[in-house]
Amino acid sequence: MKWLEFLVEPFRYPFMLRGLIASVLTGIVSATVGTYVVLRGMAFFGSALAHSILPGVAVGYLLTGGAKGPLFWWGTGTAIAAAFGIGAISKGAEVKEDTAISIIFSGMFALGIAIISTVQSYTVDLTHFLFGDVLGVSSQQVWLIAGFGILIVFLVLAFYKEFLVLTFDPVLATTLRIPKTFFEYLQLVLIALTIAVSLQTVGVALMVAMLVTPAASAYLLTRRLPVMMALGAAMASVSGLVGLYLSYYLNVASGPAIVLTATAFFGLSWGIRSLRGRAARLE
Amino acid sequence: MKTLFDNVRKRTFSRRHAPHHPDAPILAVKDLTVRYENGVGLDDVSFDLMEGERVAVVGPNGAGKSTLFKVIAGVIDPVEGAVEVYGHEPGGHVCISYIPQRSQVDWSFPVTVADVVMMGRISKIGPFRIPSPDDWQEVEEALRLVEMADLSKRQIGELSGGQQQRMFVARSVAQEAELMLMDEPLTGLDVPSRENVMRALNALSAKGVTLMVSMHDLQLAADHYDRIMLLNKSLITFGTPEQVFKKEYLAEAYEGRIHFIEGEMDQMVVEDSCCEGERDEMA
Repeated sequence: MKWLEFLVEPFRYPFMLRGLIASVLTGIVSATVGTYVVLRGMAFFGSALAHSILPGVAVGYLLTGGAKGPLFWWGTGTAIAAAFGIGAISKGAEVKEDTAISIIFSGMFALGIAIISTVQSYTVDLTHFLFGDVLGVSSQQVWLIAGFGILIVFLVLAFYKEFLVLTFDPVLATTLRIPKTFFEYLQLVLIALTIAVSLQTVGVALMVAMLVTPAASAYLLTRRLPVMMALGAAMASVSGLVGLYLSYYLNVASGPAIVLTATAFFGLSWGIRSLRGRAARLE
Repeated sequence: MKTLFDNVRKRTFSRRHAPHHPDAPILAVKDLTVRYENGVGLDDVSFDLMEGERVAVVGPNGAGKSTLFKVIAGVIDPVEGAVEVYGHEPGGHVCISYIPQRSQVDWSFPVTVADVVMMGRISKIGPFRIPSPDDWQEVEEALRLVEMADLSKRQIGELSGGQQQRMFVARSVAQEAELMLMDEPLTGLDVPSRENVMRALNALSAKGVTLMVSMHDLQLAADHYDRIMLLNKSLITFGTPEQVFKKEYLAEAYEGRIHFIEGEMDQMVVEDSCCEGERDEMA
């Protein structure tokens, strides 16, 4: 019975329970959307987008005097605006795409930090924006995360065929007259919303780990897209759970604990894959 | 009986998609010119194709074969000129299938053979719907036509080069394509695989599908195709193999890269055995 106690004990606190729900939900959502991020090679875009929302969050933080509720909406708005901005820049830039994106996102990131730094004793709040504060999630925020999470997963599933063709064979999408631009921007919006949803859990600096790591781990283990999505979502939510235990018992910050667990899963998947490869060669 | 079936199919088909003018050629290309940043892609190309024809497109590397296919498929826009399918602008037609060179496909993508073939049907299935048992039936029949029914559950990376090409032929069947553009399907294949692909193409042709296939092997083109299109930026000539394979035309198309061996058979050697596929003209 000791083990059961060990497992249940942290979640006697309501804030831990809210944190658990939030991190499991964001894990599922970001792994689902992250599947396409991994397959389309958009990890850098995701990372840039996450960093770019900081000034929006910072302005919201100043205007509302530190209230957490409205920050979700500031994050969402900035994320969508930044997604369209980066999308447009990467199409029409005079320099190489990754250079253009780097300039914009580091500039935006610096602007965000500059704005927050005008407030006295800003370091605590800045840390929360950068690395997440899942234990500070309010129940209103849990509802927002749940609502948007369901919307995002619903859209991914509803347009499963279209996203699949667009990712695997854009030329086929053109010849089949699928509205490519619409779906490309919808995909950007979904990534933006996912980032806004994960803001509270892992923060802007670690966000890309939630988008990419579980989906990439799943990619190593399966060659079926639906399985990859489900497996990625499972690993991401277990990472959320294990991360919170680590955070509780080892007194580690929750965001990094979740990300490190996801990273460990990736290492494990890699190990399994190379063992399988060796077994296949021996046969 | 077959024509009756075809008529019914075409009528049902055209109600859902762009109108087909019955007497118009399946493909009419008029004064097509494409320019890339580093030069001419296609120069004033015009020709007509009638339903059910089998055309081989030959010419040296960088002759614009891929470019021509991409314009017809609607992937790139010409600077000048027009493409008409059944007497109408190509927009709205989903009856064209374009199969890119193998090197342009991500073979590690987590999809099975059946998944890829099903992609051909997604505009027919329509948004928000999953494939019906009838759709899967079509996929199975398409795979049977190319003799790959037993491989439907394979991950696409496990296929041989010839099987990869036949999978795309099956996708065109599932798409109910009426005009198929295939970019160098035989490049890099061994002789048995080539024969399998040719057999799959013949099966498609027997269904009344119009074929346009680019290739490097002039002998193969002469043996298996009704008409040969000799291309080098501009259309050198277009006709039966006897009309096209003449010294003056080949010398013009291949410039310095052809040698004539005088002898009783009047042999020619073309020094353009390409293995890498055409240079990336999209760059």
